[in-house]
Amino acid sequence: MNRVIPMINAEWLKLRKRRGLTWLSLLLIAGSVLLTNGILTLYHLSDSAKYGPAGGVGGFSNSQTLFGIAAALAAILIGATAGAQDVESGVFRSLAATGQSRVRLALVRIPGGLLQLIPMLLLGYGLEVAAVFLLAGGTPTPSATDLLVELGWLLTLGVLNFTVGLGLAALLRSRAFAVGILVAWELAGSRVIDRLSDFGNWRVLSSTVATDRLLPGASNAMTLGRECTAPGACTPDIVTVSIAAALLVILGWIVVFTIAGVWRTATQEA
Amino acid sequence: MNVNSSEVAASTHNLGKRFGERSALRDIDLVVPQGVAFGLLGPNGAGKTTLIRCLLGLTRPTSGTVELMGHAVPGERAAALARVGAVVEEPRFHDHLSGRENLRIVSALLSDAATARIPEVLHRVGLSERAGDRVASYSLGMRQRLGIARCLLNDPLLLILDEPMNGLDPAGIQEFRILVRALVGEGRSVLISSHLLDEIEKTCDVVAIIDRGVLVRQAALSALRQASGNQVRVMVGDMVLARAVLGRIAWVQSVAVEDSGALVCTLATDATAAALNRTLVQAKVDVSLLEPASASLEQRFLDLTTRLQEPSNTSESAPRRGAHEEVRA
Repeated sequence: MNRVIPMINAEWLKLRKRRGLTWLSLLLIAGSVLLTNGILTLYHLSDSAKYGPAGGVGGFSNSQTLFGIAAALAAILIGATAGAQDVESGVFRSLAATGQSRVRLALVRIPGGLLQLIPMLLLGYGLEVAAVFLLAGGTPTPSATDLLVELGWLLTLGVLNFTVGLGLAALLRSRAFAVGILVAWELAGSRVIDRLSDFGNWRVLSSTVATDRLLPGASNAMTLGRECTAPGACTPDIVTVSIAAALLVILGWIVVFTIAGVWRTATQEA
Repeated sequence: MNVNSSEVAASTHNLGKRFGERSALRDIDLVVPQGVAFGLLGPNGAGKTTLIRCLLGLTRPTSGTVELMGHAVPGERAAALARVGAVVEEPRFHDHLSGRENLRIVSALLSDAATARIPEVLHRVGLSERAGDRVASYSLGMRQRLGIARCLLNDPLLLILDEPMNGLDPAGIQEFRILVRALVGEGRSVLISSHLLDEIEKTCDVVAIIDRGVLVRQAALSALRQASGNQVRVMVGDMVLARAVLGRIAWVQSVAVEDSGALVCTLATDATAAALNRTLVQAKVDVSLLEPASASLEQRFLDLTTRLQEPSNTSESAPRRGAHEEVRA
């Protein structure tokens, strides 16, 4: 039964018809770019001597944090919805009763969901690049390489968070639980763990350390914070991560959560 | 559609399913012939839905075997389900999608032909005009009809419908009955699980009764009704005289009076209605009606299931299992 393309289209249909999810994701991705650049522009207009233009190299760097978090959250929402919507709506039983392979049922959610997510990420990226150039105010603008690296980082970040959200939601059979856990991890958990120097180089395995390594301008020696042995005696807390290692870690997260979601979908009683 | 009516649509052999210590199904030997409306009757919690889930390979049986359309389940599940449509428990949908889009979701898993059949099946269940509305706005009856439409997408030889009449109004139930008979007329089998005895009696040709996980009886509906013994219903002119005469006949084992005024006589196995008529007429009793008395399905159902509630009959070591008296209508 070679039904892969229609099944991917069906997954995309289920997601794109969720108006609330679509608007919320768009608001997060495009809104974060507009909000960051709007605030930076206001600062610049209020005191141009103190605050540089919203665009240019400086603005490009400043807007990455909020844009990254917003893109990750949107990816988690879309992924978790894709992973749990069949089970939560009760439709999974009807799909399983068609005799279609359950592994295929689980795997087609990935391209189906990415069809929903990636255009939104590209829209956000387009807005950010436009803002970087339009609001540069005569300051230097990022190179083509930096723009490409940024695009690669954004897509990797999106795919990672989408697949983790999808796999966890399928595993837990709940969108709400998966979103709750992953938002907590993205906004707080990973950031705290990344700064605990006791973990040393094990922190390379953190998804946020790995994705941050892919940001334009990041180097193998990543400074995660400061390590203080006594008051006033602090040194930068550095871990060493190559791009290859970061990509391997990201791939590991994607593979582990995908396998978990597929296993659950294939073995659960319907 | 060309179907060999001698084929068996579904069968189980010694099927058992346990949930921990609880036995949900025990030694079920079920045969669903092709081309009939098959009623699966049982009180709530009897194991009907578990049996259906085992048939569809949605849950693994603990013991025994299942065959669907000639293929073992779950071993050859994809082939077995290729021409089977099913609604298990209440039909569930993506509420944010329209009826048509919900069918597209399922047809995407089946075939291009199934997608092309969407307008036809929507028309067949009377949902064409509401097909573009979100399912969230559908009544339960409309969801039931959409569930049946979903079953029909793959042009099934066997439809398995779990409590399909729940939520239907009387007109909807009648339409459903007509639809089922039309599907059977096309050579398909329709397995209907229900606790609505009256509707099963009106719709089905063959009935299986399941209680506490045990198949108590499987038979053609007519055979099931007749299985209550050699009884005849008699309407007479003089009730007192008739009862006096009947009381003197050795081969009339018992006489009961119905609310309608008819006498229901239980005869010895070798006695006939003709002999009874002759005896009454010779005794100057006017006979205006004489017909075989068949028990209603409800009566047979209650007979069969209430007997199971007696402690001596609930032993696991000696489950009551009905013989297959006759599985063709």
